[in-house]
Amino acid sequence: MEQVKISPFQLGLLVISIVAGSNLAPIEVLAKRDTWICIIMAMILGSIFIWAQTTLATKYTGKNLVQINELIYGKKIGIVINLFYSWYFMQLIALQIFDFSEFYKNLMLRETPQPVIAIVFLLLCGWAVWKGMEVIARCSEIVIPIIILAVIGTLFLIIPNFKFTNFLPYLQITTTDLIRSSSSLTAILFGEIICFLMIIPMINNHTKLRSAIFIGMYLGGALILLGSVYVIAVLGNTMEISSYPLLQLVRLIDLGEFFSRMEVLVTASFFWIIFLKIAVIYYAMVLNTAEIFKLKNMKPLIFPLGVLGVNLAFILFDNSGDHYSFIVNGYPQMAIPYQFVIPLISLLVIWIRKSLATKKEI
Amino acid sequence: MIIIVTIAFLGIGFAQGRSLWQQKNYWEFTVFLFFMVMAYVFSFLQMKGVEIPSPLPPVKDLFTKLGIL
Amino acid sequence: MVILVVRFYQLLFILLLLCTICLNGCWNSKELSDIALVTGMGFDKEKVDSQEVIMTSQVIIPKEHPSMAGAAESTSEENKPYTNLTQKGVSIFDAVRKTNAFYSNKQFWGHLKTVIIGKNAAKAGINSYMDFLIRDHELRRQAYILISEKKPETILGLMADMELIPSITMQGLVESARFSGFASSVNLQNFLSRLMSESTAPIAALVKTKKHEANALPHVYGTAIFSKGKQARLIGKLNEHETRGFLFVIGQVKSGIVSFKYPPTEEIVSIELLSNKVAIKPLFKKKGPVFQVTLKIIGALGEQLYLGDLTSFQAKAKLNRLFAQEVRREVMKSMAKAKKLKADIYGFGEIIYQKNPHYWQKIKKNWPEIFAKSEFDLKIKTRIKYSGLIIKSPISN
Repeated sequence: MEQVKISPFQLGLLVISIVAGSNLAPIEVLAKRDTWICIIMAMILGSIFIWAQTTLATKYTGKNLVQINELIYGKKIGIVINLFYSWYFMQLIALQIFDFSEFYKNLMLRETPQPVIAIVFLLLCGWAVWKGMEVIARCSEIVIPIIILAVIGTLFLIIPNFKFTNFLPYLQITTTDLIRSSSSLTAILFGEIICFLMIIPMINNHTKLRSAIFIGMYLGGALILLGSVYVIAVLGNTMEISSYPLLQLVRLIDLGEFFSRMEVLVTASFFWIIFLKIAVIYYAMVLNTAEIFKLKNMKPLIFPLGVLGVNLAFILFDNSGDHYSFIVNGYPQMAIPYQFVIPLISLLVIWIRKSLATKKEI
Repeated sequence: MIIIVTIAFLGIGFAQGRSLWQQKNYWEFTVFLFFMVMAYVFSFLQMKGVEIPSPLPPVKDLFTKLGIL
Repeated sequence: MVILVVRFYQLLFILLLLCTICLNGCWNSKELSDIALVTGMGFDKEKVDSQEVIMTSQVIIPKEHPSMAGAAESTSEENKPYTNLTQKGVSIFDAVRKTNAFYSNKQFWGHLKTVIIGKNAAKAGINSYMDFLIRDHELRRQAYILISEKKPETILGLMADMELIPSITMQGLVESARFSGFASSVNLQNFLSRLMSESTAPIAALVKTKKHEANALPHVYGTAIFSKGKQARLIGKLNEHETRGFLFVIGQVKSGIVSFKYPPTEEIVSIELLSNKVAIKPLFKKKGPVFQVTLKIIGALGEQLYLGDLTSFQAKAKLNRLFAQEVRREVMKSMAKAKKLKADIYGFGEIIYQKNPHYWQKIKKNWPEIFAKSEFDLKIKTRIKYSGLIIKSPISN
């Protein structure tokens, strides 16, 4: 397709934006004080997921997910698996669009219809995807460091409100809930990096691929951990009822009548992070579909696939409560096969073939 | 609203489709047309208020059926 | 070909316009002249068991700020920079929307400074009314909660002193209560945290009127104690000194004056409080928890009406002893009252839960009774600095 090259640094930044751009409110309601433990466990589990995905990518340098699947499973089964992935990416983008437009609708733009917010935002992302991956990568290079600094700086201001006793008692969460939360978190935060397998061939330095993705993952995870530690320390037991705990946290900043109403800064940063996240997933989805149908140019598909994504976003849930319970209960089961099981099976198939081939030689 | 969407679809479809046809990419043209039609049908149904069932797996998920979690 | 390029750029231009119109919220823009800035809210009920709630909101009317010379005239009835809107409704949100029947601007809650709850509503229970205050997306949780004996409309109409708007005055009063320690400053976030806790009783500050020249001023004092349970009902009050005793135990006395009589002449010595640290250690015994409360208080000699030398070693020791005694008296008074009301205002239940969840599971059902019977082992360590511009009193024997 396109012959663009992105540097490992840009790739790492894009990974950070994918990880950090998730809303953890449903998990925080479930895990309460022990959310930070769940996040650490999710980072451990996520490392296994990402290991599987990056190993798959390094075994076939320069090939993206669609081509890898076809090489491993052959043409016929490969196309079926690729269609499933296309469907998964479509659902992923629909979920993100729903999340984002709901956030803006409930908090800021109450009278604007939710589809309008989604459509306008999609037009922006679609334009970015039209321009190509290099544009998105360069944009992230400028935007993400500034945003990270801004958000961390803002969070410094809430430190006077800390109460470390809010973390006690440790590990009150039941084991079932711990497994549920951790698997949800892994699927939401880290499993979505599977869509990077479509973009990996564009990196200009394949040896640094693994380290770029892992560093991006850990940095993004560290940001999320920081956010949830702050939420638990400041909001304490009131965090169970907030739809957007991080936003509620930033609202409480009130230092000396000067640092007040900082949630505007956080909302604006969130907008940028989500924009990059959706742009990357959108790009991965369009590229995926274009490769399946063996098109030379993916640009014609940008518009129709985007419209389909927006339509799907508003079909998915009947109401917001459904959305929350889906994220904790249904999403891991839906996503983990794509994020982990299929790459693992692919690796197994490669390993079996290699050992059979060496046996034949012997 | 429907009129605006129809005009948008027709405009883009026309512009993109004609360029594809003139470059003799017939396969790409077909795929493009297919997705445009699908997108238009879904948008039309949504705007008319037709209830399309959600394709997500229901929340009573597989794991509880298997007895885990 | 050129036509297509031109058309493409025209389309792009239209799309960009659409983005600028929609993404920055023009669809949802709120003009300053269309919104009613609410700085204070009060709700009350006619009687303790009535179904409807009477809601009052204090709305600012933006006007030119009057000069100092014209201040006296501009605070007359016609030129008030605020107005109070009162409305009955079955719920707060219902009353808010009904207000629009006689006031055209939609109320904007982003600047809410104080919430005043009338006595009847407080006695009936305020859990259900908290929902509006938390759910609304414009409300910030920095608003202070005050309970009043009189109707909230009266309090919201009191002549303000330095500020022209009563609710902003009251916000200032609650914040400056930390200079005396005689009122507890509770904002929505703290109140919510106590409401949601399993054991801690919610508290709020009280407000009454006080005559000042020809007018009445709001006077913020004391603490109102609410019960736990399905509805948080007002069950008791702490007066000024009891409030300070309570605040000592939770470590929130930032400043204040403790006065006591210095024998043998029984003249007053005042100590200014500088810092207040507390360590609470729970002991989990079979018959009930025992709390070891250690208070470390640093004070400075603020004023001595006693005409003697307070700088000798014996005098310093005696001063420290009397100071600790006075603090102990205040703390024990507040504890006695809290035990009588069976309300855990200190958060001791939370401390037990945090240190020993198993023990807490056993006693949590009867916590109010167990709290009332639990023992407190109070240790007070004081230190008095002699700061100030004079070393000893100029007239000393």
